[in-house]
Amino acid sequence: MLVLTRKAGQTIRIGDDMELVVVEVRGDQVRLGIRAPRNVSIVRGEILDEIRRENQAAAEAVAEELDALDEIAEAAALGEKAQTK
Amino acid sequence: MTIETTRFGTLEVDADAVITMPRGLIGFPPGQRFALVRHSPNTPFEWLQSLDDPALAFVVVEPRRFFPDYEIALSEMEAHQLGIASSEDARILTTVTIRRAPREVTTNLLGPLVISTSSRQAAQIVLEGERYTTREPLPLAPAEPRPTALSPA
Repeated sequence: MLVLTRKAGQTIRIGDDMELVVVEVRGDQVRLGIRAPRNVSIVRGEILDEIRRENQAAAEAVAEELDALDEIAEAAALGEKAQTK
Repeated sequence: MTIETTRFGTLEVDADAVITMPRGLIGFPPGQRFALVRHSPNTPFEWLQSLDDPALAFVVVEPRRFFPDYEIALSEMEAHQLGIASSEDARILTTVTIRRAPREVTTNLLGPLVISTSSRQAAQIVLEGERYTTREPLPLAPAEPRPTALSPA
């Protein structure tokens, strides 16, 4: 990994069309500005990690979960009946 | 067309109903094809079954059945890539995670799946901001039952 030291207000250019701006440094927090083409997806890393983990958990649904789903659906149907009363 | 699955054995899927995910689900291989399979006539749950990996399937649901105010912002770029011109062209689904101990049924409102009903292309998008979580408890009774939501994909 390339590591650079920058001060507030300084920038880093990435390729021809991306720019990282150090907006503010306060304590252990850094505010960054990012200029990039619209087709470049910019997402905080931990959000992507969280969704990846949740996808993996969701993909573990096994045959026995079918029964659980039916129970839920039954409960939902009961709920609908209760609402329409 | 006929597909093989580990959960459901052999399934018959309408070729027109096949969904492709060029970028895949986050953390899963890109370019996979999927089909939506209704779990049973009376549940809001569907299976998003991979056609390329017989063992890969997700439980999905239309989040608005449970969270009527749920909305997503699709960037112009994402809409263009999926071939979505208006909100009527899009179907939104979220994955459901069922945990056994403690019993917990949640849905991922932060990373919904957007399916173009015309191009049959889909993507998992990441919603910015703090409004939604990846583990939103699913209220067992839908907030606003809508019969039309039960129509096939």
